[in-house]
Amino acid sequence: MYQLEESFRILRVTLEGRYEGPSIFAVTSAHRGDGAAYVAAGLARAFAESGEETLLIGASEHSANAELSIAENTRGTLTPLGVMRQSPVFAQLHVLTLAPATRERPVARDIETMLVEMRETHRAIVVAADPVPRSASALQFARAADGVLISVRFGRSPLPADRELVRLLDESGVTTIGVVPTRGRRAAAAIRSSSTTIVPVEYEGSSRLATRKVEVAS
Amino acid sequence: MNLKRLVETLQRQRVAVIAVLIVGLAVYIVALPHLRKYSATSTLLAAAASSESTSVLDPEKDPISSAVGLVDLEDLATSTMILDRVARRLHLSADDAKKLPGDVKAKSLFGSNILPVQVSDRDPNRAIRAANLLADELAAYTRSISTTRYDQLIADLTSQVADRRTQLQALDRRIQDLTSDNYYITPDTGTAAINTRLVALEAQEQLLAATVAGDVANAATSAKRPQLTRHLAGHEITTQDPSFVALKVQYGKDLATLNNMKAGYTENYAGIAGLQDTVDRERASLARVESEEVRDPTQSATYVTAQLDANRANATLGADRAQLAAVKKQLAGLNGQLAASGGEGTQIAELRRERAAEDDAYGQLSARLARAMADRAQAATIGSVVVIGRATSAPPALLGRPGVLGAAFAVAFIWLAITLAFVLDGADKRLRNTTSIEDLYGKPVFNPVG
Repeated sequence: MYQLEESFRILRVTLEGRYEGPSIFAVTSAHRGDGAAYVAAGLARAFAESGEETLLIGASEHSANAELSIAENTRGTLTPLGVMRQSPVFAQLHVLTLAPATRERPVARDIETMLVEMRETHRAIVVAADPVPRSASALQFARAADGVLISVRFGRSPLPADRELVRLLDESGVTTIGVVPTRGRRAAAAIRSSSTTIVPVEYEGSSRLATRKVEVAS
Repeated sequence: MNLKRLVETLQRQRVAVIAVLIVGLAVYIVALPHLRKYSATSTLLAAAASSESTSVLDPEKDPISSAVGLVDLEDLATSTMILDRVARRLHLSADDAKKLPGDVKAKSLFGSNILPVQVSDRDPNRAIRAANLLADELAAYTRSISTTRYDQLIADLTSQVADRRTQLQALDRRIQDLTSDNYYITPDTGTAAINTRLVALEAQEQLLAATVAGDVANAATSAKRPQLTRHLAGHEITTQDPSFVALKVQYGKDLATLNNMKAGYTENYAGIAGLQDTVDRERASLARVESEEVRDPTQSATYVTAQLDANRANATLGADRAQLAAVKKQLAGLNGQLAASGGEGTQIAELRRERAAEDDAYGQLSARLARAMADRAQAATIGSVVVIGRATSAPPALLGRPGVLGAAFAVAFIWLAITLAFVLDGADKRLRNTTSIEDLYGKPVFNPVG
């Protein structure tokens, strides 16, 4: 578990070094189950534990569980795009769960407006997007983001969607930061069950994470 | 390929790797009883000259050298002919007999004349027996080759000697038939006896002829001697008569006296006439006595001797003439016989020449046969290939030991497992590492998470 957390921290530090100031990162994939929501949640937590105001936007249908696991049992604030909750563990981490209508048929202007507003209050905004080849909203979030991370699950076979993803991102002028491989089954399990990956990080390691937050900040 | 990749590959294909190793273990357990073998070794010493000097079956080859070279012995040890004999003596089944060549190894040690013969078998006792039988068969076979090279030659020579002997016997019979009816022709010398006799008789005839000629001359001379000694015989007779001698002495004295008287006296001297008369009477008496005595010359020893010599010479001449006549008669007879047996003699001479040639050929063949038989006996006795070490134990073969066999199986199946793992991994196109992901997307890849 420690290695898992550390992997996200390394990823966060890498991004902090590349993007100064408030930044928007979209995490997408070529295929469902590649762990985009998992990566987005982990990255958001990594930013939050370092004391940065962080917003995790659940733009993916499959990201709902992750978002709920982070802000479970918390009271949310209704926004035009969805419900925003605050993590009970990390006060700096907020989770915005897009309403189904917004998620399925997003309006580009609304998205840009929302992100501009959120950038003013959050150091990092992480969007958990659907697979780009399958979702237009995902591509819109990707275009709106400063950089895109691609999540790929180890162990699956290459698909035409992989080439399609790269082609779409390149043609859309999206800045692709890199690819984050995930351990397929564990990532999928984390998405399916809030108690597998996310919850242990928060509940079992909360005090440790808090301590580390100080360490990272220092 | 680095170790990390190897470990990763094996880890990814661990199921296949474990399956292969389990199969290998099972194969090892099942195959161990069948693969365990024991090796027994017999040792041969081949006092072999190079088989390249002369051909293997050349009878001119030195009988003490091996008929088969050491290199050929190695091949001979695994030949079907030798191994069939061994298999029969071991009462092997057909399947086991077929496998026997693969279980036999014969290789000389560093080019020496020592040839170890190794036989492997699952049964140690049978391995020992097979090794010893193989060594025995090799020695016996090389010995048979050593003697076989002479057998054909001996058989041929024996046949030729028998033929020659038959021909000689036939010639002897023909010669015997020709000489049986003719006393003067012998089987050994034919008509040579006649010729020899003729030569001797001719020499004798010539000698006798010379003798007769001498006898004739001697007889002629001897015949003249009595006549020649007749006067001498008269003188001898008168000189041996005392009265004649006395009368002759008296006559001499009277004659001397007369002559003296005549010298000193004249004719008229009275004594002269008387003395003259006396001398005349004495002379007449001497002449009468002499004529009477000389009339019978046989009273002279000289005359008689001469006469006897003449008679003896005549007798000798007659005898020699008689011998000469006899010899001439014998010569005529022998010449007649020779003339009568001229054809038979020629035939016998031809037969004798033919027999001499046959006899010479027979002698040469006999000599060659004797030498060939001696060489064969020598080759059979010396034994150029001998067994100097018999197998008494059969330790497990190197690959038949469980440990070595297990190690071999382990190496083989581990290698197979690794190979299979890489083959399967190579056939697996899934995204298994960051490199494949980077190749797929062409973007930098972060550390894996999750």
